[in-house]
Amino acid sequence: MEQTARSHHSQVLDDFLSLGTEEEFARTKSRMMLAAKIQDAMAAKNIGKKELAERMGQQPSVITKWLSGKHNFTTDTLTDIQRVLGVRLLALEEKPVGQNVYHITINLISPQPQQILPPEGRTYSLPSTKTDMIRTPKKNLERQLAYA
Amino acid sequence: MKFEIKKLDALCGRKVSVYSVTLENDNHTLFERFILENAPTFPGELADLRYQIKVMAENTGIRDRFFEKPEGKLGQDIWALYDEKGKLRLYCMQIGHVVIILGGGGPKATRTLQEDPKLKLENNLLRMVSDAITQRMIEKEIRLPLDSNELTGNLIFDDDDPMEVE
Repeated sequence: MEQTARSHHSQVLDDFLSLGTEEEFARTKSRMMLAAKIQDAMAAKNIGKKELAERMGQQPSVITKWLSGKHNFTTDTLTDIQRVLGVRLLALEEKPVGQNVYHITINLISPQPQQILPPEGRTYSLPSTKTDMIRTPKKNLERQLAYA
Repeated sequence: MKFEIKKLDALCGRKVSVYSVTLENDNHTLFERFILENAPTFPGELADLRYQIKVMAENTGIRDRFFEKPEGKLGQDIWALYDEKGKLRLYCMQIGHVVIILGGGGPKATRTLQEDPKLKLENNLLRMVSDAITQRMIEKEIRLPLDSNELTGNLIFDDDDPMEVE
């Protein structure tokens, strides 16, 4: 087995990890993830920093700041970047609260096929369509799968 | 110069592995020395560096643009991570955008690195570490396997060469 580095733990590191607040962490995470998404969109469209600056009517140094992961973007700036790069940075579509999408994988090939039957006198009820199944929140699905 | 590369499990994530360096006869890593030196004066700045390291490790991976431009000779992947206000510099070595080795650093008080003895010392120290690691990677004594973010091989450096930090 390949040799790997020895792990290092200490109170100093633990103290470091307890610095700051969850709110600040969440803000930094958003800024860095937006920067990464913009950078990826630029790469996908083969647009360099200078070209993006020209298209946005900005100085290249401003784009550098955006991509540094430290910029506090305004909604207007994000809207403009979305338009120029054709990337979605703001999720503004209306969606009812609590509507979740679940992905269900059904393994159709089993080395030992088993027939799962409900207790005598009862039946299973499944969502009628594939779309229903995909969009059915887990709790409802469980309810529908429950014995009729 | 004798040193060892150690993995900081608590800072690692699914995208990036985080390491630091212990020098001979020192229980603390260079990164821990950096924390101890700066925690009393720059707790907020240190917290900001913590957020950045954790987000890179878990979410974004290493992006060059999150760092200051490389300092040192061409080919040495020494970069500086800095806080939002630009007060602190933390020198790091990147390997393949999936491994980061944290060194030391300090507050940036001067315009250039050369004007600051402390930052110059920390930068040169990590450059020496970088040179030694790069040499072992060329000799395939240290490897970064494909699709992995974990260094493998001999990560203990026992060379008796005296340390020549400028």
